[in-house]
Amino acid sequence: MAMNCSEVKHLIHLDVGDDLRAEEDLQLSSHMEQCSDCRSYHAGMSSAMALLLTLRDDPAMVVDSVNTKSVWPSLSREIQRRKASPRVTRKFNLQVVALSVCSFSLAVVTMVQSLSSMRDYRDPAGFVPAQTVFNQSQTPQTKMLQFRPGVNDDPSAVRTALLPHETPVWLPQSF
Amino acid sequence: MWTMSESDAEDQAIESEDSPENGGVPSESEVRLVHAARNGDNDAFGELVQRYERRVLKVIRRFIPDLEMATDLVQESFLRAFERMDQFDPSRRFGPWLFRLAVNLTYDHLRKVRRRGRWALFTDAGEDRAPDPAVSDPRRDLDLSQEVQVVLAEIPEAYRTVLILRDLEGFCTSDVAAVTDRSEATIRWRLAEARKMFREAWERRERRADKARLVQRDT
Repeated sequence: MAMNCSEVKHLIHLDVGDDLRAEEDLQLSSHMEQCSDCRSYHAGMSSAMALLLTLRDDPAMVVDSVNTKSVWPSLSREIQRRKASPRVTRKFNLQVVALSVCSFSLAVVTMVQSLSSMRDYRDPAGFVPAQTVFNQSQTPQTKMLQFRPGVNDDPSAVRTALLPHETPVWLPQSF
Repeated sequence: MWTMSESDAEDQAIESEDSPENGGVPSESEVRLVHAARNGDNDAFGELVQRYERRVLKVIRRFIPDLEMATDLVQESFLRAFERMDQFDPSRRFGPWLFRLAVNLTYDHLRKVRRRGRWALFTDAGEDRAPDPAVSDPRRDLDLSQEVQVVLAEIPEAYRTVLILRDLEGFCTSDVAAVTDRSEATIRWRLAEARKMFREAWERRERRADKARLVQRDT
């Protein structure tokens, strides 16, 4: 099957480093015979590869076999040292978890208590269950929350209609 | 102080033992050494160290040119290998497994340096900036291999690693696959992409230099 130029370019990238398989090499050769664009691309890729290969024998990277010390003497000392000292095993510390749970519970309890004291301060009479407020003769549709004088006369307190099975919830304004 | 005494010829011989021509099967002497090292024979492990340390150092220095730091990482790699000898599968070759440890340690080190650099008050990031067009030719003071090194550093890590191991260190694709823990097909694809990226990065650098030369001529 004939290959297009983009597929051939992939082969060219491999060919410049001699990484093509025999059948791929044949495909590349037959395409390059007909395609001048791919031939020039191959030439450019070969130049780039030659540049890259200048690093292969870069003298800065060559390890001086005479003057470079082997790591084995110090490594062997380190191995001996580790063998001599007992290995530190990591153990799960349950105390930290228990302490965290206690702290968290304490924080939750404190928060709940402070919320309830805030409610008592803002509404000393507390909320009144809906059933005691509603007139029993009213139909469920007309059961609007009635305001009790002295308790619910705060105009900022917004109350919504409740159905008989619902329990009124009072939230402080700070929410 | 003990110094390396093996000749380059010996080194070549070891490399050829590990070459793909022997079908990825560990050599007999290596099997023996690995077996002894796994049973706690320090001398056998020492021999493995002396066989591989120069190649490991060379690979690490491709990522970290500083010799002292690279040597520390070589030691750390062997120490890790020693501690994990029981996890090594003796039916496989020791080399790729060791190089994987070394390359992973090098990655970790580079990441640590990058993380530290992000929070440091002063960084040396300016060194990697694109050349200033006002400068006549930014490559003037660099020799060719330094220039190539700079361009190579622009390639993403995963691709650069493949390029370094295959083209600069001469690992075969199956060894690169073993070192990087990827399939051989992935390595071939990455290799092709990495070479393309290198060419594009080099051409970008050439264009920048030409532009800088034009600006210089105009002024």
